[in-house]
Amino acid sequence: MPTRSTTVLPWLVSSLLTGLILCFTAGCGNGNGGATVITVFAAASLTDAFEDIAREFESANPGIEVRLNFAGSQRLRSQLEFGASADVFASADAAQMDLVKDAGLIAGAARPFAGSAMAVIVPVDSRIQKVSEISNPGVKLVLAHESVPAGRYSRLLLARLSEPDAGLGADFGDQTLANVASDETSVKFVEQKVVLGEADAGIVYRSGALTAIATGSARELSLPPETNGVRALYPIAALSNSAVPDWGEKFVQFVLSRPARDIMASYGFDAP
Amino acid sequence: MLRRFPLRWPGGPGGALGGAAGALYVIFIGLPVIALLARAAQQDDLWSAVTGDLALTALRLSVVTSVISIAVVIAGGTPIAYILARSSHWVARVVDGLVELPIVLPPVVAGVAMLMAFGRSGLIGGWLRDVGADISFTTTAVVFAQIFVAAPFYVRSAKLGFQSVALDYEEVSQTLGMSPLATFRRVTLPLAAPAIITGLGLSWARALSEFGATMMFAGNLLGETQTMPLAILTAMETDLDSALALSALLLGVSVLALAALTLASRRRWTGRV
Repeated sequence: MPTRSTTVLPWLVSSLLTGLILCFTAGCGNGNGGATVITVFAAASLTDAFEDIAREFESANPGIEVRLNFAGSQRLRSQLEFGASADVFASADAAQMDLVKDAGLIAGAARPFAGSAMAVIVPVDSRIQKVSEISNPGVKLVLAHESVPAGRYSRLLLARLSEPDAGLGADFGDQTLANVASDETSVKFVEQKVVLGEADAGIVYRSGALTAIATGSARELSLPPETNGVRALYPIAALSNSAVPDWGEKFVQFVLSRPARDIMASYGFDAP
Repeated sequence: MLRRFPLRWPGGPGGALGGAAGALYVIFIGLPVIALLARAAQQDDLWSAVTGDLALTALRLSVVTSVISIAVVIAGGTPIAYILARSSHWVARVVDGLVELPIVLPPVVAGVAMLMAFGRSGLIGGWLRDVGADISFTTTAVVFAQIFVAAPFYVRSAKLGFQSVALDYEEVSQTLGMSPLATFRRVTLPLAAPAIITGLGLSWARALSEFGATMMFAGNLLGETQTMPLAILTAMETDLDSALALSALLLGVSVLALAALTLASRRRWTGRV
């Protein structure tokens, strides 16, 4: 029987492989039972709010399944540029949205749907009390990388804090940037490292940090009112290579609607 | 050099399928490598990107940290590998399992575990900080992460190498008047050398490519903790050309290292006694 087994095995392996490949290409077993799937690429900072919004949208539209993909907006943008297929893109800043638009990937116009202030957070047991102290030598500050929207806003905030009316001195921004211990690739990592106590301070979206602040895992430092102008603006757009363009547009409309805005507000976002 | 039997390929549909599958495999591995190099070569300023500040800073950090990691791995891993090869005590078996654990652990889990142990609020991290060793976000943290994930590849391979050396050789050597240490150095080590060098290569490659644990535990800062893989990820999101140049550079360095190790493991290490 040895000759038989040596010829049967390759056949078995290859037929299994063929079956597997057919299965992937035919999309068997993805379990949505013929539902229409909308794929939404959304900024990492939108995670909790968009999970709620997607649930609401699904219950208002039976037979529709919303698939969410969260990451830093810059990473989503680069995935879209490399041909990732999605129906909606919600970015944490206009810069990333503009790049997607320049690549000819959005259908119609991008519309702002939410805003968020920035917050400087420290671990609960930190000795730091005032925002002026984050420029002190030896403070380990964690920011998002400057290619990440949150990182860009963080640097704008530091620049704003260095202007004369903020009263922290013109060197404040440079001295604080010299304290940067890590350029994280997502704002979520910044929050995590402050909550874990690894970093002495971090700059995040106020909306994203609300839960951590409310549950006592992090403390927010108060900012002078002059910095109110530094805030994130979230644009959303339906994408042009969508397989279900109508549904993409419907999801965008839903995000702009009153119920969705209420959900955004409950997570600390404000109107654009 | 190893002596090889001439290849006798089976005929019939089985042989043909096996050959086709083998060819597919080679294409599958080769295509991405060729695509990466071809795409990188299309750039006009590839050379300036490869020799730019970002690339060289990250490469220097990667090479320095991985070499330090491997030195630590050799120093600590060789005795452990020898003990594990020669002992059947239950403690040795438990340690054996523990030593190999990081191989199956996803790197991100390794990063979280490192944080829980050596992070500021970790098990011994607070104490480390009190004695002045705050390692979070430092190059030391990069080395810690690399040792954790890379060491098992060396220890495992070295252990198998030592196991392949018959006890008789060691006993004969000692009855002829050599001390245990001299026996280890002049009999056991040369005989186990090919396996040890293979382990060294795998372990170093793993340290060089370490990414998940580093990002969790050491952060991402140019010149401090941003190794090549982290620099490539960061560049990927801003500037594809620069990411391609960095990838090609890392590929080149890895190929050179692999070639050197292959040559070293084929050399005869015995016969100098």
